[in-house]
Amino acid sequence: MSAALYRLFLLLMMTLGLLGPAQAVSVTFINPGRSNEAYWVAAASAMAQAARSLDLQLEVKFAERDHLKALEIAASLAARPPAQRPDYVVFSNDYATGPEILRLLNGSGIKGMMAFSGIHGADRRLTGGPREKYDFWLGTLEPRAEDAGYLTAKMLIEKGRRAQLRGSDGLLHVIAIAGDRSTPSSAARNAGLQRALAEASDVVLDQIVYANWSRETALTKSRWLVRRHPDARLIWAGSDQMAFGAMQAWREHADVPGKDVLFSGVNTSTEALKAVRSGELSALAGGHFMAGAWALVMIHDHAKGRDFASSEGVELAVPMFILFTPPLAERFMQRFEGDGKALDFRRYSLVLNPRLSHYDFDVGDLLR
Amino acid sequence: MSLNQPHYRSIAATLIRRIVLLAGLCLLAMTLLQAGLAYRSSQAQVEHAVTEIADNSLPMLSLSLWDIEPEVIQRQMNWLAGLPEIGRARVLASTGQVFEAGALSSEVGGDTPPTHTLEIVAPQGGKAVGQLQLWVDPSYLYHQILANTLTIAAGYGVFTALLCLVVAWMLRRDLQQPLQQIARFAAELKPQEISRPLVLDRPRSDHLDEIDLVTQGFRQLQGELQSHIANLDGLVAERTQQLEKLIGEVHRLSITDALTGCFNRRVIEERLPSEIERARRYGRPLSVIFADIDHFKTINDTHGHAAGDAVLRDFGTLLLSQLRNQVDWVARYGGEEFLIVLPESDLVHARQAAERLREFVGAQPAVWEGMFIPRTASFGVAQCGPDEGVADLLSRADAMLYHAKNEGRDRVEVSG
Repeated sequence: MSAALYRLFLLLMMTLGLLGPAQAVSVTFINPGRSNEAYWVAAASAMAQAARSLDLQLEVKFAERDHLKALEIAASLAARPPAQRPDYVVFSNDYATGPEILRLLNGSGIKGMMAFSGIHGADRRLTGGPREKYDFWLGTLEPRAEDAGYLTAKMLIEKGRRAQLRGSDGLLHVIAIAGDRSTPSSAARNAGLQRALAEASDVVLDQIVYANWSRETALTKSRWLVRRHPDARLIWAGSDQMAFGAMQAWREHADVPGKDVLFSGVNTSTEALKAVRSGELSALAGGHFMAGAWALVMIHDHAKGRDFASSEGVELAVPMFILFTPPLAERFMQRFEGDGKALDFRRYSLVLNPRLSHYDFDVGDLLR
Repeated sequence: MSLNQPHYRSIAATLIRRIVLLAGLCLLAMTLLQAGLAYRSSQAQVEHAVTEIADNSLPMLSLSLWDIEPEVIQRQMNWLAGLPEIGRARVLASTGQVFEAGALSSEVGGDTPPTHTLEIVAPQGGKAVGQLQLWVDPSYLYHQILANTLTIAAGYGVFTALLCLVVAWMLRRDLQQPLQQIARFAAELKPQEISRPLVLDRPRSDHLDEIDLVTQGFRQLQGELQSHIANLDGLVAERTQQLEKLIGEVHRLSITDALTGCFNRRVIEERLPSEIERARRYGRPLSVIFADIDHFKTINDTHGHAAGDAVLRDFGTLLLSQLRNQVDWVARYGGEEFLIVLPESDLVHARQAAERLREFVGAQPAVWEGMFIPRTASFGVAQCGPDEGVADLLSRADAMLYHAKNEGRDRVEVSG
């Protein structure tokens, strides 16, 4: 009885909506990271800028790296009264929460957009792809993680050659500090590293260790690696934090980062950007934090009736990563951390730019 | 019970004592042997186990060392040190880090060298990434041997106890109780009930055993004793009869005058008072007659002593033949004088008897070697008075005889 009345009420509202001024589309982002974590704060901040630029109403919920909390957030969204439910939810598959979030949101009327990381491997059998098992799951937007590994490795090797940091055997010795063994983005970054290594005949990988994205673990393990591989002068890291952990170990060994030993990392934390500027970090790739912001562009267009499925497909792997040179790092810090002028995301919208036929998400372009 | 007699101790107790002693010695020997064997085998076992453990943990250690996983390495150390065989485990990483766990119970603080040292090679081979050092826990070996030996000893102890119980039970049932019954039976057996059968209270069996043999022997012994005792009784009866006969003969001889066959004077002394007593008690008469051969000295002198003896013998025989059998009796008083005692006879009857004897003597002369020797006899008769004693009675009769002699002989004189 009340459900029938409610539907009638909705129908009335929709009719009124057509006649009256359009209400802002609401989006909730289930942020898997911590509210004080540079990368995820940057991701949320970029999304906030995009929302402002695109007239979207954004709500960010931090799961604090607790996968149960991420599920709680999803459940609470679905449990809200329909009027208070967001129109769209942006979520990730970090800590493999994707399948469960999909299940929780199913039937709530909320449309879902997966960003930052998608569902691969065994879980895929549970969920299928976007719009297969779950209609409300519109699509996935992933940064092409392999680029991060490849770009940083290429740059690291190049700088190593230039600095002549060869071992006694005349080869460049690389140590890799990877994130973990299971996350797809970690594997993709490693694959990028391996591709770059394969392309260079004068480089040898002494060892790859896993530091679980932790600066502390990277420090501990690097203290071993310093002694174990005295010839290794190029330290590739899967993240900026792990690069800094390793850096400390080599410093303790009286090596000067950027001079005796070269380091590379991924992410656009302030610390990392400053290290690029100071030369301690020889290579830094970033830009994938923009995945959420780019997803908002696609949601904006979708809400306006332009579905990306036909032109872009439902699963997008976008080359978001760029290498940060010191000037680029400078500019990035000004744009995202200072009180600089608002970024314009409208120019990436296909709806607002009818002459564009495809999305072209380029952070470098944004910073120009 | 004499002090010299040794204390009682049952065979069962002795047997069990011996079994326990022997079992104890065997147990000691076996325990020593087992401990020795266990020491050798345990040593080899521990060596083998530790080598295997070390070999098995090497790949894992190699991986965790290579991947630099300190927690995993420490966990591995804790696991190794937690194994019963291993007292302490230590990994020395080539890069200087040290991981260790466990402490030797016997260690006082000095750093004893490890019992096992193994190089840890990187997973892909090549260079060493560290060294694994293991200390075998010496108390483990000790505990192993102790447990091993105690198990054997306990089993052996239980076996011995059971053996003793069975022996004690069987000895008690089959030996001690029956033997005690036999001993009690033998102690309580009386000569008059020698034939009482020995019945043992014991379970029936299909076989005979030693106890049954003892019982059979006992019964046989009882039977032979019984027949032996019966023979002795017969023999004693026979001898007693012979002896009584002999005693009767001796008695007869002791109261008979050898020459005449009449009683001798001792019989008068023994028998006459009781005859008088009896006559007085029953109020019956009793009379006595003194008889004396006349002129016997002349016969002796004329014909010799042998002829005198013949006359005396003939006179005795004559007197005996003329008396009432069983009642009257005659004894030789001395020389040629005889006393005839006539119970149940008053003076009249006695006088008649004396007259009849006198006539008979006078009518029949004695015959000696074909020669007739005439003879007469004198008689003195007296009846016993109411309060008269033996001496007075005989004196009165003797006085009558004397009177008869004086009156011419061959006559009867009656007193009173």
